[in-house]
Amino acid sequence: MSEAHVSEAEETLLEINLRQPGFAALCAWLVPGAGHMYQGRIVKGLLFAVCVLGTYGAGFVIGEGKVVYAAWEPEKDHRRWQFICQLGVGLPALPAAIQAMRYRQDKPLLWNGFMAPPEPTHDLNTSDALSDWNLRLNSAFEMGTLYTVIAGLLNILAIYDAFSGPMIDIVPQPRE
Amino acid sequence: MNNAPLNTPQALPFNELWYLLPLFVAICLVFGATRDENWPGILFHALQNARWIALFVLVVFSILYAVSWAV
Repeated sequence: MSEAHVSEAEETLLEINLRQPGFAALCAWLVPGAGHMYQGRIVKGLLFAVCVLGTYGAGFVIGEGKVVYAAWEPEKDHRRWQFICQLGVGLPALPAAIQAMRYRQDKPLLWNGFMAPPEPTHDLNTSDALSDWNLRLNSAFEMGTLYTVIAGLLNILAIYDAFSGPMIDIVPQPRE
Repeated sequence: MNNAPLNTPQALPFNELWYLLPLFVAICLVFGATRDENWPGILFHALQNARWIALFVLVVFSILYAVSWAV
């Protein structure tokens, strides 16, 4: 595609004021939709907020608040890799990271154990918290995890959009 | 959500597939919103994405159904 064609196509595109893209991306990570609202893209910010926070909140409720926690203990064969994706939602997932840090440092957990990692045991005669959650919630645990993971991944797209604008296809114009 | 005992197969029950519908809508809208800035464009891309995702799911379902029928 020649430069002339690109510039002709760009002329037809919208001009979007991406105010302070780095800061907007940080806001978009911390609170889904906030980065767009900071840039004055209110409707789009609301759309991202409703979709991402709605999906995350629905997953959190389906999983009865047990599905977002951080744990990485290879020695206990306990790796919550899903939290890496859930962290994409920003602030709503951060309490889990704080609880995990306190758990690793043997400090008392905050907020009555809210979003704290479960204590795994490998004694077959005693049940551990994670097993109890899975037994009680059954497929709701998986569904809640899926919802919250997808919410985090969707917000990564929103962060990219806040940083560099929409990925509008530039269609080459036919030669006259 | 069901509370089937642990010794039964834990496949997702059919009625719980409804839980995937809100996810489908949210994914299509967010994908669409990253492709355009205005509502008509966002909805256009969201519908395009919905079509492709539905087609992909239908193809995978057909393959799995055929395999389960053949085996």
